[in-house]
Amino acid sequence: MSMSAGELSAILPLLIPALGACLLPLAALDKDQETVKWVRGAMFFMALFCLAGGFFYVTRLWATGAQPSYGALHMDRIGQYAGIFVMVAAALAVLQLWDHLHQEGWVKGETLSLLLFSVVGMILFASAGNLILLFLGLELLSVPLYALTATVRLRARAFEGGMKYFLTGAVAASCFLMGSVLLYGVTSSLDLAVIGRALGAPRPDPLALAGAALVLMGFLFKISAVPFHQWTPDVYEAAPHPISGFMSVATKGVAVLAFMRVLGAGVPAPGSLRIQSALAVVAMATLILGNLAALAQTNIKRMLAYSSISHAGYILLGLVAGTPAAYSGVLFYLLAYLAMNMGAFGILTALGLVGDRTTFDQVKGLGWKRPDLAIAVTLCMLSLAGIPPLAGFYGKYMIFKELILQGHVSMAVVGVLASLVSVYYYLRLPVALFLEKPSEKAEREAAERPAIKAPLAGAALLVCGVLVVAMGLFPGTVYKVFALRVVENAFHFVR
Amino acid sequence: MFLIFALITLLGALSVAFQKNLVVAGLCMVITFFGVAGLYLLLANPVAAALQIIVYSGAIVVLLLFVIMLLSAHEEEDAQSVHSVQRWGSVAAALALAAGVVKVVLSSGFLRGAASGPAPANMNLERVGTALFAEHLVAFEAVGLLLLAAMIGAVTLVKKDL
Repeated sequence: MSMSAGELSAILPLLIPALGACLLPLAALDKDQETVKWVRGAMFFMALFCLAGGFFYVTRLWATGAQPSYGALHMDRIGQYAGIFVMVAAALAVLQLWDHLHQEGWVKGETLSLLLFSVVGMILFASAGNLILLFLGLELLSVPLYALTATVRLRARAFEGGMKYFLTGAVAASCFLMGSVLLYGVTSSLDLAVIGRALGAPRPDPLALAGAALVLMGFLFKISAVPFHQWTPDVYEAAPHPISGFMSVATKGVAVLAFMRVLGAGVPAPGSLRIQSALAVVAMATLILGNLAALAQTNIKRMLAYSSISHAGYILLGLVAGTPAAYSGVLFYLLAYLAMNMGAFGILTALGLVGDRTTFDQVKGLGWKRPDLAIAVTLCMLSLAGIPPLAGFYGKYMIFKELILQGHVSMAVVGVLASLVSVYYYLRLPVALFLEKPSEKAEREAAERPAIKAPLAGAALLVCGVLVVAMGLFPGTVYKVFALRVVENAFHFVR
Repeated sequence: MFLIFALITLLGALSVAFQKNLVVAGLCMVITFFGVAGLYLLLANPVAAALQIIVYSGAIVVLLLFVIMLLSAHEEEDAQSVHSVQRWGSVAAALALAAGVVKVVLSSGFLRGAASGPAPANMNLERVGTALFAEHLVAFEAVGLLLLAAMIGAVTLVKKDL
């Protein structure tokens, strides 16, 4: 069997990280104490190298405008966007992992291998054109994440979180599978476009609707929208900080992208009305509950987990509006979210807050010791809250504008109110960093601990801060180069 | 015939759910799988029936039983406290869900059409082969990656001197 150049270029963005993922465990076999330092360095370099290779390949595809496909695998603009998005997030996570794993004293190559497997699954998930690939992508991205959550197994909580994630994730995955079986049974096709047309018919079959509802549930679980969000804070708290950041950004982003592909694959007016009203209810509940629960948190990671739930709400609002402009707004928002959330989780590693020492009390006054990092994370926080000249503001602005143009004014008002509430809890971190004084006990303990060195995590955080400002200063360029092209080239309703 | 196989499947599944001894529950699962294989045979689909018996009753259940025996946790532990509200709530939710499913199935035009329509084409080994290695080649490779990832994940979590 031979393979054409187009088919090869469709599958290469998946093959490059997959190759790295398969080779890394072999490098991790070396147990020699003298060489272990070099092997570790080589493993992290290899992971970064694979991600960089994949990134440059996908950006080249993006620049040429080619949209190759291999069978049901469509490496079109959505797939390429997902590739760029996930590989940047993974590279930032690898940089932070180097420091975090050294702080925890648990540097294992398998962690990187699992991360790369998850990257492959994410790109597959977002570029899948039929139900089988969609499900396999979902599993290939989740299974490594279950293990990654529990990876630092010296901590008792890690196992608990991993188990929780695994059990809830397995239920969600089986719902997704049952839904796909129903859809396949009724439409006797695995192709998303055919299924979309069948669902968009004036009177769709109730069995197909039940299947669609189950599939929707699988997506909402990964986006961590409200009825399916309970796992999020516990899992993010249990996982290593960079992995929490990676999960919150990449899993959510890719689930949104795959969901957009499913929505965009068909679903004209009558069928989509039902889905839209369901989405609107979920989005409202997500916004309100996520923001209110975040107010009450004392742990930074749990606060960020609830904040990521509330951001799922904003993104879903964009999907409710459902116009091309709203879709490209969501795509811009995802890029902004990548930078600001990786930065927000990155401060924990950069300040060396290991294990459970992630409460607001622990960071009091630390901002004066590392002002550069603290300023970067403050920018990320302001951007998460949606303060004007930063990236997060423009994402929210695009989504709310489309909502109002589509006549959903009340939803836009709730969204704006929610982001006003969020200012309070986002500002708590900068306030703790700069304005509050550490207790004497904490100061004594800090003096006893060795000085924290986290150069790579610090660099990753600074990159995030720069990205947040750059996207805020030049939103138009980013919007035109990335977000708009996806919507123009990949969705049927615009053509 | 259909009733017999359907009853075997259902009773097997119920006893898996209610059996306290895990090994016996695993064996009941074999019965369920045999019932499903019988249903495939009734649909004039011997290949699917054979695959069901080889893969599920053979490989997967044996694997399951091995794991249960290696963990030597044969008996289910009693819950620390029984929440009767939760129990009745879950029963009510399950009943509501079952009623909903029955209603959906009964109101589905597709199922009525399928009963009177032509029988679907038979599955044979050749078609299974082309489906696996031509139509769904990417998916086949992705399954390989998935299994490898799951294996690495399991080793990472449990190996003593990693």
